Amino acid sequence: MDRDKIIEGSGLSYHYTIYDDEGKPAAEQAALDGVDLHVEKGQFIAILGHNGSGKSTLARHLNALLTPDEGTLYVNGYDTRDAQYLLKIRQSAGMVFQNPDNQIIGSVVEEDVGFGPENMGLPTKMIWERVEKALKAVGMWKRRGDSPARLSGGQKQRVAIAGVIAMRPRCIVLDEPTAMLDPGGRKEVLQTIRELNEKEKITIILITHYMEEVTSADQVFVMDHGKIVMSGSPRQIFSKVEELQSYRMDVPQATLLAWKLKQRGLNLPDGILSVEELVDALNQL
Amino acid sequence: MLREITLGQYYPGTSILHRLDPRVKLTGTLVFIVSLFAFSSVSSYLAATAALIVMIVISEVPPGFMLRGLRTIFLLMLITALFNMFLTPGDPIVKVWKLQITREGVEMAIHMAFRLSYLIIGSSIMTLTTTPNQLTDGLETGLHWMNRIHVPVHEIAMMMSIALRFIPILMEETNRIMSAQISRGADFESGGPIRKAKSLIPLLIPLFVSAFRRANDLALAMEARGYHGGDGRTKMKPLIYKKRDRVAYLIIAGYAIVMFLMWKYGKIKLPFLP
Amino acid sequence: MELRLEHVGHIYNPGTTYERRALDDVCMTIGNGEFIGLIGHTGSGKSTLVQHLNGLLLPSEGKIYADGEDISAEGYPLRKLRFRVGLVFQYPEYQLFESDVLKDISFGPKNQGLNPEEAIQRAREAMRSVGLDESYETRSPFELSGGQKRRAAIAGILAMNPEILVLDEPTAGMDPGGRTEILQLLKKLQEERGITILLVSHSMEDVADYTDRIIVMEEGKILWDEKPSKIFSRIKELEKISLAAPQVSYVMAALHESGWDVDPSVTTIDQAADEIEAQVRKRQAAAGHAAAQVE
Repeated sequence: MDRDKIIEGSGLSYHYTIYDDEGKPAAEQAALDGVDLHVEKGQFIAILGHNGSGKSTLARHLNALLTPDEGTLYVNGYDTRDAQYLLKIRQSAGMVFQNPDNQIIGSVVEEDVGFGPENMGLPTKMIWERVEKALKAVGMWKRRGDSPARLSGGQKQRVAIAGVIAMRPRCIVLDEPTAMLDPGGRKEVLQTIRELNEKEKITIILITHYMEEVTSADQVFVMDHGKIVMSGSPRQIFSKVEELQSYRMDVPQATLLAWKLKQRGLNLPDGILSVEELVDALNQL
Repeated sequence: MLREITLGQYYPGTSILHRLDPRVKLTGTLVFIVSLFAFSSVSSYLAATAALIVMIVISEVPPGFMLRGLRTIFLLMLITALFNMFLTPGDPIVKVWKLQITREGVEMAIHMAFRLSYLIIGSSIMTLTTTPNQLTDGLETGLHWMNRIHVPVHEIAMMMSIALRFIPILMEETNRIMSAQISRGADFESGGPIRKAKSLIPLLIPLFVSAFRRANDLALAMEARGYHGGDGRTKMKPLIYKKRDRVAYLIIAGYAIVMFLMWKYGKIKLPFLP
Repeated sequence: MELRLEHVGHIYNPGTTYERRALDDVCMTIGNGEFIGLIGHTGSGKSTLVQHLNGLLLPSEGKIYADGEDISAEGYPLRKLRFRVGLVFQYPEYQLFESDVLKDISFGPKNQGLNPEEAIQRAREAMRSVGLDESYETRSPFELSGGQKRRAAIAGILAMNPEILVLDEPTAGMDPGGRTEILQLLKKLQEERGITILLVSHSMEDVADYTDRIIVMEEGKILWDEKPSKIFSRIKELEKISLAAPQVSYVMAALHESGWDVDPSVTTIDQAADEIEAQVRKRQAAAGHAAAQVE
């Protein structure tokens, strides 16, 4: 086993069973089909894919909410199929879900953040220290006494992230954390994630279908039909506009515009990621 | 909008009652309720009334709030009183056709009206000064011994607190689905009871589906955060008795003793009835 | 049909501590078969405004006229208005309830008072226009994929044959492929059937690509009501109210600033590509010409 790897998954397969009207198993559907995923500690990984591509199933494996039918998955060195490591795995790889309302358990912000440490059986004093640190890390310390109902979507997701950080994970898996947020909320959450990656050196695995969110990732994986079909740096991925579109993905407008201009014979570099890059490249023509 | 309205009866404040350990308040309420049913003398009524007034004053909750609870059960009180008046056998005072009002009936009716209203006021004092969360915490810690007789106290308390958290969300959702179905021409108002009940299907099915989806999501989220039932779980806000709680227990005990003595020795008939 | 809003204001929970003004002096007219975008950050009053358009909410101030008739007037048939102004809520799949897709979609037409055959006929047409074929008719709406559910729910509104279709973020939570499908469906409905579309959206790119007119809301008021090119030339002002312009507008503005002779009000990728290409060719030609002169 590689010490620098937080996630080591090889040949992961997972099938859902489809039941007929009488409740008998009728068919099997592959949600993961031979996925290899290796993630180094401290990286920022993005996993892209359309709805139903298997990316959420993969995410749930990383937290041992699901275990592979075939293949092996080690999270922080623990085999996810070994039930005795369950709590350790969930402590190592925290998970943030899509719907902000359905993952907040406490009726007060601070109590929700304390939920994980309580489950870990930590002494009260230590729970408070962790809650304070976690809420400060996501910039929600001032709202600790509030009811979650009074928070915006972005703030709720930040609380959910704090709830995960309070368990001191090595890695956070975020399963479409911004899908239900408005642009302001999306920015808030992304900024929080980036800071955690840079300052706290927490490994981030961000699952999303918003392309703008992955431009600062170290590595991007694209999934389709339960397989990883593309992988590489954002620049490498974004230079393959047509391939991405064939997987029902999109690229940011600046990238698309650059690609179209290139098609028309303009001499622009591959995989332009932002407005600034495009304007610079055009000015240098 | 709905989320803004605080659920339950809690009236935010910092009075000594607000700060008491919820277990003390639960015990106090229980003792008070038991004492209500031992009322038999004027002096015990006076003692209970005095206790209630003192509690209302130190709770710093406007008395109007306390009495609000009474309004909702007024009808129930009226019916109970009428039943008692007419159906208790004894010395008739008034006789109309086959119905008769007995002296015992009137006495009973008065007793019941007092008991019910004291019961409501007494428990409102508790709910108004205790957040739903503290209440479930109090129940969980206070009833911990029931684990030994295989009552899943932690799980029940967890269920209660989650239900409390989700009620406003589901209320909002109900509104939203209702608006969506009204936009499709659904009519929730007209027609007889059967049609009305049928017209609720487009509201209830989506609501159930959504409640199940949320429950499923929440279960996943709890599991992902290492939830594995009450075993080995610690508390962020453990309930620890302070001096004021011990004093409060003493006062409750004193009240209980006084009430017991009055019940045992002081059977005085209500003076305004012959 | 035409909906005209005159000085509409709305106050929630008037006279209580929760009193809150959500709309303030809103004036607008919609309904000429246009594709209109409604933008504004969360809490700017969009959702409240949208619920006034089919009479779910009635104005606290001002008047709304549907084809000249005051919808707040006593005895005004609000239910009929709801069939003419179709309102698709956010996450509309949460309203599905019937045992099969066809029955669910025919719920609206049945409420309209159509007989069962007509209602089924309408439902079939609506299914076809959202791209759900016959094989879906007998399937339970709950076993469809997310995107299919969303389309079935939109079909449920379409089956009422509305003249105005109002959609509150119909693409929320969908993947890019699904988003494009929904938006193209709306464009088709507008072009082929002349339905007025009012699209509430957080995506500046989407409204820039699909609409002919954009209404911007801020603090319950209509700030601007203009063509996309006009709206998105106000990049700085939009950012002040936590909105933005499409990336293309930023590119064009930046190029314009650094001396390119391009139209900064361009809002779609193809237009932008045309403008930039023309400029580059012109520059290259000029450079070639200059080079030729040097020689």
